[in-house]
Amino acid sequence: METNHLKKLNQIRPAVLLTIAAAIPAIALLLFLQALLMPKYQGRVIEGNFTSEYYEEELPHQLLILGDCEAYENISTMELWKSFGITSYIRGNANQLPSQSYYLLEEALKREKEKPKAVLFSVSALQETEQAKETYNRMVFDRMKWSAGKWKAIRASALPEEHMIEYIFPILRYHDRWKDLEQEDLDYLIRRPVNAFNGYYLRADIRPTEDFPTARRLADPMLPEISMHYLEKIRQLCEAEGLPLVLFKAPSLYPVWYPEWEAQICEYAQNHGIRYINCLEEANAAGIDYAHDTYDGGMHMNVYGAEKIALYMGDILKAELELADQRSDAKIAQVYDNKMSNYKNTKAAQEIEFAQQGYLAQFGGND
Amino acid sequence: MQLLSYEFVAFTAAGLLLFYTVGKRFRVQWVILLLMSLAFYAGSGWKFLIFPISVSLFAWSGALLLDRLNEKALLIKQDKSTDKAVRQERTQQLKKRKRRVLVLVLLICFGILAVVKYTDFALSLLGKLINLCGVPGSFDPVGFLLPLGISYYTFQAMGYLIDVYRGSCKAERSFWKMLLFVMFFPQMVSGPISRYDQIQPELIGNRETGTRFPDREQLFCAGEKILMGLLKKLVIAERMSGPVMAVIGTGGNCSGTEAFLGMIGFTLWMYADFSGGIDIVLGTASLFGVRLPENFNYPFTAQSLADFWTKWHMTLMQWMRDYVFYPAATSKTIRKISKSAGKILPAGFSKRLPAYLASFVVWFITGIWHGASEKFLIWGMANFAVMTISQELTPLYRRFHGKFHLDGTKGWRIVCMVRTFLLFSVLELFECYPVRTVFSQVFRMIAEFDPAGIAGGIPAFLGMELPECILLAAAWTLVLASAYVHAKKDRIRAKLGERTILGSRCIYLYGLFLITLIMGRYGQGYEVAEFFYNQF
Repeated sequence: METNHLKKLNQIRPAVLLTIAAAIPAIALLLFLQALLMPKYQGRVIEGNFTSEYYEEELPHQLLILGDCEAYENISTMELWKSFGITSYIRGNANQLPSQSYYLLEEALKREKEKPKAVLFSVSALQETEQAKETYNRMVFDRMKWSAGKWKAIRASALPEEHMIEYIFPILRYHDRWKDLEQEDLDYLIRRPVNAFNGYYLRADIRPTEDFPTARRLADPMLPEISMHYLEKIRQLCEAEGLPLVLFKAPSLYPVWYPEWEAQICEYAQNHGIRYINCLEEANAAGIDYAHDTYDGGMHMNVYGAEKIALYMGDILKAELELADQRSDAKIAQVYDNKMSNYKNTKAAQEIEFAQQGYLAQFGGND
Repeated sequence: MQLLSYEFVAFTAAGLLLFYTVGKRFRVQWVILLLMSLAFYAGSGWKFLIFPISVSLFAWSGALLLDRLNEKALLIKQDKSTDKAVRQERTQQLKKRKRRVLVLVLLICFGILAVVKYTDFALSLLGKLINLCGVPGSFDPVGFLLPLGISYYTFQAMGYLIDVYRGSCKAERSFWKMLLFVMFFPQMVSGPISRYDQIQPELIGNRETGTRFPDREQLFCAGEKILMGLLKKLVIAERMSGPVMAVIGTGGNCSGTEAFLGMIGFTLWMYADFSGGIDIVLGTASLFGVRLPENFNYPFTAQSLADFWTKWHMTLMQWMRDYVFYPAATSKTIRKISKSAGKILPAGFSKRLPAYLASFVVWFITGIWHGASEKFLIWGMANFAVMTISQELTPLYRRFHGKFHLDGTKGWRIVCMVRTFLLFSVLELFECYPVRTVFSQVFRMIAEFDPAGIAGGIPAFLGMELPECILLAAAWTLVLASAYVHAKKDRIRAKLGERTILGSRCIYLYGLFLITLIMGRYGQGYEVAEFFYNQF
């Protein structure tokens, strides 16, 4: 009977080996095609890499900053380092929802080599009930490492037309890009350069503030329940980890931050003993000049505005949260010196380009 | 649940797992299939389950009754102790009873179909009739929601009933097995229309061993069917539907070149869409060990329109032939009509009249089966008219071939293929436009016929960049090449070794998979249209 069993095994072994030998190149080709077809975000829209750029970080961060573009465009992490020695990282993405901020924070807290000292959360995204476009979800999740948290995060924010299988196998989502492949799809097939500065999106162009549409009357004065639910989850997570949570509102003039929402956040912060810094109201104190410190007419700060906000916030955070000055740590300083060098070079290059052309070509002109 | 959805893939995968584990272990594979079919149908609205269940119930109980009457008739026939005249009279009475049962169940089931599908059409016709009499006004449509696949499973169930009536198959004792036959999920939405005795053994499975997991050859065939179906639908049909519908949408306000390309495009699109769906259905069914009948047999190789209809939507046309054409052609009523007509019409014609009248009935039913509107009725009648005229011209064709000796030559076969394709395409225009527009379109196509313009106008018609045009051409080439290889598979097998064939097949299937995966029109930014024949 054993001999029969062995005979059977010997009979099927070549078939099994052949199947494995055929499957390996087949799967490899699929993986190659998937990598080729996924967007590289090296052109006008670089935010699609922000989630994955975090994984390149070798050192821990004292301050984790969460939020949408009001987080990653309005606080210069490099200024926080340069002026205060605060190591920080902005886990932000375009239109990042509160649920996404929660799960990115959860992931970051597991990955950080040392526990951070504080968490800063931008409250502007709380006004969103659901994701505006599927593309934003893809930018947050496509290069996020797989975990139970990623699964839950996708489930929490997926639009009706989205399918989990398309996140598991992104080739199902991006297969159609075969018509739109560019040189950068080959150039950045394996590795993509880091474009943000610890999550900060640098823009050195200037477009003064213009008029914005009149604020519409709110149908419901309260911030969406689902957003407040995730704010509460973020607060509870920070509490469980023993991390002080700070809420902040960027000095963006549009979209409108309604007084009703402001009141709600103030009340929430007061009830839970949370520090809330409203840089919109304190823009003057921060020295914001809306004729110079914004690159899109007042919606987002440029690097000049972001540095001012970093200086203003840094003073408060250092004093109230006792964030140590890490400039004396040689290992950290060496890494951040390189980052600062890149930051200064990028800023200088953009300043020259803007001075010469009046716009930055990479970001599609002065719009 | 759509056939082309991730949900369907997950549903089928989970079903296969249950089928070959729990189902096989406890010999309840057919129960798994039934539960899957009920769940699949309930996905379109659980309230609609009442329709297939009702049709199944009537067909099942009617068939059991007919079976009993058949057995009685057999006993009477075999009873030599009774007087022959008495036996004949009893047999006649039984025949009448059988006919009453058959007619009653047919009326009920086709009545259900007629009510949900044709009420609004009947009301609109009635309204037009009343207007013709000078009475203004119209009837508001009732707006019944058409239950999924009702045309297909009703015909399938009634075919089974007629088979039992004729004694060509025994009635199914189990209502649940009958329900499975009617509702078997892959074929519910767009056919094919199966025969009970053909698929019952595989559907219910082997009592001793159950349905075994497909072997390598069966897996290859199933995989090829499914992938080819996906290629036809997602790569070809979804690309062609936009340009084709754009031309149809002009309502005839387009150039002769556009009209011609639109006409050809519509035929090719319909073939890719319909046969693609059927391929997926056949492939999926075969994964569960059920071989459903083919619905297409290289229709564009047909030599005549009559030949074409033996190769396109075969199961519907076979159903019409077996359950409408033959009974009608041999019925007393039609024979009486022919006999009376023979007194005034030429002898030859009156001999062919039964077939023509039966054919008229077939094409009337086929027309309205396709849709509750005048255009489908006219389309059916147009097909009937062309085939009847063609039949009447047979002596002329014989004289022509007698003189020119073209019949049987390769060149003439190609001419006939092209002619049939164009004829079918022109007739399909009746489904798209009012009658007057069809004729004006055809005249325009002929008047403005410009081969160079047509060839040059293809990219503009398709509205695609060059890479996509090349892709479309390549996909069609792949479909044709696959058909050719299938036709010559025995010869190819004899020439190449088994190993070479195995390797080639693996590469071919993987290639099909990659092309469909990457170049299929699905996912974000696309809304894959339902299969065209789902609407029937």
